Amino acid sequence: MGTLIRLEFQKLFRRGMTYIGFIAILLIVLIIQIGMFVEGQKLLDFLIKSLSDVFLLEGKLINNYTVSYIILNSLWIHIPILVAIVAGDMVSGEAGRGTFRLLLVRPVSRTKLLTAKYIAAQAYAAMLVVFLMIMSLGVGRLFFDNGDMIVLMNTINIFDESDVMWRFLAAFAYGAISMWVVSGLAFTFSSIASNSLGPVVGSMSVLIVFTIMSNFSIGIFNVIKPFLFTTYLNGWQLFFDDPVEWDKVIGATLIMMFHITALYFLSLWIFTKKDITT
Amino acid sequence: MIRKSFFLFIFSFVLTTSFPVYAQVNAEEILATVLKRSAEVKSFEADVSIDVDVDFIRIPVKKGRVFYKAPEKFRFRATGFVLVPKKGMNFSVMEMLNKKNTAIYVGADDINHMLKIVPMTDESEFVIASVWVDKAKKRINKMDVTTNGQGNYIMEFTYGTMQYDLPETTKVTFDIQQVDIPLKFIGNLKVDQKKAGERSKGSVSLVYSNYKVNGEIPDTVFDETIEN
Repeated sequence: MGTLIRLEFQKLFRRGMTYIGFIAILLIVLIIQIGMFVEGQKLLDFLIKSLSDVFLLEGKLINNYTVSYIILNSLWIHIPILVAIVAGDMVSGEAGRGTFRLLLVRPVSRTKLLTAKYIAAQAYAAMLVVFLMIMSLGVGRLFFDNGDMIVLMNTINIFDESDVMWRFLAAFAYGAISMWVVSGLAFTFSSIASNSLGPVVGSMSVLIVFTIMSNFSIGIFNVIKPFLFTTYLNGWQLFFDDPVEWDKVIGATLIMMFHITALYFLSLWIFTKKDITT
Repeated sequence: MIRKSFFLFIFSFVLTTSFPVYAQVNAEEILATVLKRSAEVKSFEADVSIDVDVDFIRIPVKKGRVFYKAPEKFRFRATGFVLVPKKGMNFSVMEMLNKKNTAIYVGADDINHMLKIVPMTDESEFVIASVWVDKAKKRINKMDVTTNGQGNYIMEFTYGTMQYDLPETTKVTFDIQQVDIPLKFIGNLKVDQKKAGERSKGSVSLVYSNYKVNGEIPDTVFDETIEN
């Protein structure tokens, strides 16, 4: 099994498309960081102007943590696309390249092969999240000092510098789990299709439709909402509320873990039943 | 003769007690005494902790050091971000009272004289202020200010055993407008639309310690460009 996973990683990193995600994150994060470095303080001063009627605002809120939070908020919609591009190609890519039959004549069970691919896809999603974390919190340190962070949740929360890092680590961990759901979805589509485009477009379509439904606060959608995984994708923000609503965090994590497992078994079921013709 | 003297005594007694006692107290004098005592402080620095209590702001208690140099140089230094109340710092009160005002004596309680301060200039930031001045110590214990369009604020001061009239604690209660911050990427502030734009009450408590009064403070301390 270890060899299979290693081979999947080798295949994964030989493909140029694997690096698209990393390059996109690198560029976008750098652009935001440079932009915030140049204009960030002015922007924030304008936004919290209403507080300046009553308070003198001392100290800098544009710092590494605030900018990292802005990056997370800006990028969280786009990371799923980058995850889906690779996860959607994991199985269907083999079919598209015509290497499946060659692969399956070897003494490897379909279950083991698919499991190795699923693990590689999920590891890739986690790598993207870790890369985003390194870029935002690590590289951001080259531009900004650390400091207190402002977050607008139900209230204006200003967190002390010492109270921020664990929130980021928890948010990124949660983010990795939510990306595993997206990756699992794209992977499931990938196990059905025989070209890479279909699973990517399919999973993105599901994501868009579900996100729209999750954001509607009317009638029938309110009933469906708790069952849609998209309702929980933004849950990383819960760690920046004060106090953190742990029951919501745990509930959302369990639901997403259920999705990840269910999608794995669904793709396994599809793949083992599938007639390999390419 | 005895009868005449008795009537004279009664007349003078009635004359002296028929007017309220406070009619004899000169409000301008009280205010002048307060300002004179406060003018003894040419500069100070002190540690201060700031506890903000506004229903839509969550910020931990912040500690820092405050620097003041007469007449109006002020700097707060702390690590991190701090919300310092604009109104209610001791010197800003004195600055306000030092302008052209009229003081009216309106009464007294067990501890304080009560004055009304009316500004005599058009540019004044406040419309009227009620001031409670400690009868014995001649220092301000409380102040209720009605501003020009920015609502009311109340300041309450407590003092320690210092020879100068610098407070140990200050509590400022003020009106604050619900903010509607127009950005999505820094969070997801759900402003109650019914409350948006409404004024609600907030307060800030400041606790001072380690005062250093009338010491030398270099002007560079007040330089905005110096990092905290």
